[in-house]
Parts: sequence; structure tokens; C-alpha cells
Amino acid sequence: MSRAVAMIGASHRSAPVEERERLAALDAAAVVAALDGGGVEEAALLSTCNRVELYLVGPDAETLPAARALIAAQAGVDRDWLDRFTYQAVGHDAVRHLLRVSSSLDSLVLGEPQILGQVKDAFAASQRAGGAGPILHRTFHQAFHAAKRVRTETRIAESAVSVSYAAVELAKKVFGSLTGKCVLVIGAGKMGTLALRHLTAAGATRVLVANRNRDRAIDAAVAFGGTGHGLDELDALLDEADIVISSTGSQHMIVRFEAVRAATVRRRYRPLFLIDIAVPRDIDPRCDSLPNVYLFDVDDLEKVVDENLKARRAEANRAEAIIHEECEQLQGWLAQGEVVPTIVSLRHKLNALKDAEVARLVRENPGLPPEAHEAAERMARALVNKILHEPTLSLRNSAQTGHHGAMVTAVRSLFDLNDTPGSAPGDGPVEATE
Amino acid sequence: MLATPVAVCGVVAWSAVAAVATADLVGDGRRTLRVARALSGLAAALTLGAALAVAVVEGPSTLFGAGAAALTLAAFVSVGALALGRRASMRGVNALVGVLGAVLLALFLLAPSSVSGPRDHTQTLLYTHVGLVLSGVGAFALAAITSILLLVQERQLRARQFGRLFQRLPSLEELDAASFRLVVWGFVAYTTALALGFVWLSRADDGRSPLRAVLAVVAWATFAAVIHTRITMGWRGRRAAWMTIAGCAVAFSVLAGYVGP
Repeated sequence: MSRAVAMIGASHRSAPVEERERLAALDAAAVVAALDGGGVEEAALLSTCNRVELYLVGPDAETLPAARALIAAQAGVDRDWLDRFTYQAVGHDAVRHLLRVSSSLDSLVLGEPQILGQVKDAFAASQRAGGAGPILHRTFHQAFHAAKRVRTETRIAESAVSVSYAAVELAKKVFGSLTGKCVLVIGAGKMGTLALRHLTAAGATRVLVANRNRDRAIDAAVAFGGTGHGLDELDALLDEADIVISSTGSQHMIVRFEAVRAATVRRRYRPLFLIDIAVPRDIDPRCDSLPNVYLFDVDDLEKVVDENLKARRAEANRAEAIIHEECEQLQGWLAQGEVVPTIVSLRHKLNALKDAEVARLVRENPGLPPEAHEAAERMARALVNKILHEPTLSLRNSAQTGHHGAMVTAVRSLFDLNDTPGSAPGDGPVEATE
Repeated sequence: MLATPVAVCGVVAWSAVAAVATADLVGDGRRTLRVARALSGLAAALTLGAALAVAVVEGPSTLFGAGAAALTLAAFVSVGALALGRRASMRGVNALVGVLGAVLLALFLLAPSSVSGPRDHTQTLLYTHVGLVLSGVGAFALAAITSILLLVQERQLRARQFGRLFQRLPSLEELDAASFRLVVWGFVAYTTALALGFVWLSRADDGRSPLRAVLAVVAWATFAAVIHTRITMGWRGRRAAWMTIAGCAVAFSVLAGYVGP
């Protein structure tokens, strides 16, 4: 019986977080330990904040029920729960799913980069627990390869898809490089700090933090090597800053139109990039009409994110084509693995016949000189190899085209190959080619 | 004449540059940027080849004659565009340079006596003047092109149009800096050209219309204003871009009748 990859899991698409939490207790080592004695031979557990998926390798028809039983036992859920909140796949579909997950095509945020690292971690954990065998090894590495191709050959990972990073992207469209730019943060909110972190990572060097409470401003600035100021210094700070991020909880405008207008002249019209992520807004919207002053609020940043997500979705079709290619490649390899036992059996059978016939020749001709014995042995070996050459090639070719099932059955029937030699499918086609 | 078929190929190549570079800005092509750059290299080579052919067959001074001035201007623009194109961030410039290159070469081909420039070597002053004018106008033309891109990009930013065009056009500061640099280079050449032109005019009265001299002074004054306001008041961005485009339009009007048919 051939072996197949099976998958069962729950993700943000199939189950709400409070249901997914029930699978959070699953542990790779415990899953692998639970395999002992069953037909399932390999296992890997992918667990992220958005999904928990169990990948198993075992006999074709038995693996999926085994996976369900394993999840049910380990997570303490019943069959109804599994039917309701999980999805499952076997064979080609399971492999394709892993490749799509690794390439971030199934992620909540299409093209997000973290998932590949999480899949790599899941595979490493499986290896440590002794759950990863040759088939999962090859399948996961094919997934890593597919993900790498998707990232380099498509634009699915380009452009910002978070509001805080969208601010950096917009700033770059004004300034080009952010190296050496001065960032002024008004208020010390979470979003402002996040945007500041992105901006400093992109090259902004000087950080000014202004807050109603000067001590809090100083505390917040220290983390970025900047200086803290009170709001009364705002007019002077506007002269220095290239980028201003405002995120206070104030009910009134903090940055006035007149102050910015005066600052633009003092700044000699150097571009001023204003990001207002406060609700209600901190910066007078009229500032956007001033020359070389660019003001964006939360809605604008979300519009950037929407545009970028739209672009990523357009790239997803290209990525699916890559997944298809990689899946085909992997399926070819897995199919090669399925024909290997037949090739090895066939070779064993003919070699056994050869050995028996040579032994009989020696037994029936006791006076046979050693040279004649060796010549007979050589001839028999050459004959076996020549006979095996075409069937071996045909089997390998049929595996590549996916039509190996009938061929394997025919060869096994013709040569009466009922034994199953020890060669594992996952050991790959290398053994099959001698 | 060898220059004519080369220039025809140049028109085709520059048109292709314009088409591919525009597709690169608004389309979904993945290799369009590389193709546009390769094509612009080819178009520049053809333009310089045509100019070389004129210089070899008819003499270098012919390049500064009325018939071949458009070709010479196209050659200056080609060299400037190649220098600009070396900067990876200057995406989109070729879309407009392609149009300009094709028009200038077409004007050269349509000129009634395209290689019938003056051969009087005593007129070195005049040739130097024309050469400097053409190099200055070439720099102004590229400055105007970057200014147009700046206005388009600023419009995208102000209108919150964050689509493909916005993503691919260079940043405002890069466009502004490139435009200002080109204006300064062009201004140095144009100022020298004007000085030589006035010296030449004072020596030889060829009955030319004073309108051209007046327009040349207006163009010069416009670019002087661009530089002055930048240095003294820091004017940049949209204002400087409009002034640059206006100055370039006047500088081209000075050449009307001299460049092309």
C-alpha cells in the first residue's frame, strides 16, 4: 500500500479564535510520541496564532482517520467539533495546502513574511521530536523552496500592509531615502511609537518626542536615543523635523495651521511630512494645502494598505502557478518513491533467479574451471541488467507522468512480486536508478 | 547620406522607449524597466551615431548649423538621459525622454537641408554659442521632464492616488534635486552661450530678429529666478517645477525656426 501525506487543521478561516485555542495545547513531541505502534510514520505540527495544522505520513487510507483520532485524543475534542471547525486534505491536496501556507497565500494578511519562519520552526520541532521522516523532509523543503520562489518571482511581499509601515512607505515617496531625517513624535501612543520604530529602522536618525508631560516625553525619547520636549516647544520643533507623527488623545488641534505655515517659511520650504493618527485629529487638515507640506491621516494610511493588498491579490495568481509547478515536482518525486519498491522487488527476483541458475550450473558441472564459472556469472548478470533496463525506465517514466499505478500493478502481476522489499518510498528515486 | 537611415532607426527606437517606459509606469509588465533601459541605450547610441555620421561626412561644424541642430540637441538629451538613467530611482524619465528624442530626430529628418550647416571656420564663436545653447537647452529639457514627473507625483500624493503610477514614480525630493541640478548645469552653459551670442551679434549684423534675443534673455531670467529663489528663499517643489517648465518652453521657442523645418 502506498503512503500519503495527510493534513488536518483549524485556521482563521475555519474556526474562531476561542475554538482554535482548544488546539493550542497540542505539542509536537507529544504528537510524535503518540505515533508509536500506529500505521502513521511521520508527523509535524504547525502551530501559529492563526492556525494549528497536523501533517502526517502513513498508509493511504489510514492516515486521515489516524490524524483525526490523534487530534481528538490530544486536544480532547469530539468528532462533531472536528467536523465543524477543522479542514482536512490528503495526498496532493495536503501537499498543495502546505505549499500555499508556507508561501503565505493562505495567511490572514496575504504575503506576510512570518509564516515561512513558523513553518521552518514547525519542521525543526518535528525533526527534534523524531517525527520527520524522508517524505515530510522532502515535502517541507519543497514548501520552503516554493515560498522562496513566490517571494522572489512575484511582488506578493512588496509594499506595506500595516498602517504604521504605510507611513514609512509614504514618507519614502516624499523624501526618497529617510537616512538622516528628523522625526518628531507628538504624544507617546502605541501607533506613534510603532511608526517611529519603522521610521528609525528605515534610516531616520534624529528623534524628538513632544508631550504635554515633559518627563514622559523624555522617558519615551530615551528608548530611541532622542530628546523629550513639552508641547510649548512645538513651534520650534516644527522647524527641525522632517516627519511629524501625532497621536495624542487631545480633543483639540495640537498642530495649528498658522504654526505650520510660519514654519514652512522658516524651514525654507523643506518638505514637511505630517502623519496624524489621532482620533479626533491633532493636526489642522488645512496644513495639507501648504507648499511642500504633506498631511496624511489614518484613513489615508488605510487607503495605502488597501491599494497594496489589492496589488498583492493580483500577484497571488502568479504565485498559485508557482505552487502548481512545485506541487507537480513533488508529486513526481513521491510517485518515484512509489515505484521504487516494485523496481527493487523485480531486481531482487531476477537476481535470485540468476544466482540460483549459476549455482545449479556449478553443481551440475563439478569440474568447471573457475574462469568458466566467472564467465557464466558475468553473462548472467549482464543478461539480468539488460532485461531489467527497459522495465525500470518505463516504471520511472510512468512515475513522472503520474500513470504509474497501472504499470506497477502489471509488473507485479507479470513477475509475481508479492513480497514488499524494505525500500521506503521516501528514500527517493536514487535507489531505483542504481 | 548615412545619417538619415540611422536617424530613422533612432526615431523608431525613441518611440519604442516612450512606449515601453510608459507601459512600465502604468502596466503590469515585469521586465519593462529593463527593456526600457536597454532600448534607451540603443536609441542614444543611434542618435550619437547619426550625429557622428553628420560630423564625419559634412564636418563637425555642420552639427551646429540650422539643419542639424535638432540632431545635436537630441544627442545632448541622449547623453543627459543616460546619465539620469543610471540612477535606479529615476523610473519614468524615459517615458518623456523617448517622446522628446523621437520628435527631435523627426525634426532633423524633416529639415529641408539637414546637413547644410555653415562651414565658415571664422565663425567659431557662433558655433560655440550654438553648441552651448543646445547643451543648455538639453539640460533644461531634462529638468522640465523631471519637473513634469514631480508635478504628476505630487498630484498623486495630494489626491491620495496610491496606485501603480504612484508606486513607480520617483520620490518628490529625488525629482526636485535632479531638476535643480540640471537647471544649474544648463544655466551655466546657457549664460556662457548668451554672452558669446551677444559678442557675436555685436561683431556681425546678420539681420536676425531681435525677438529671439529677447526670448533668450527671458528664458535666461526665468532660470536665474529658479536658482535665485531656491538659494535665497528655498523655493522648491511645485513652484520651482512650474518655473522650470515655463523657462524650458521659452528656451525652446528661441530655437523655433533654427531647429527643424
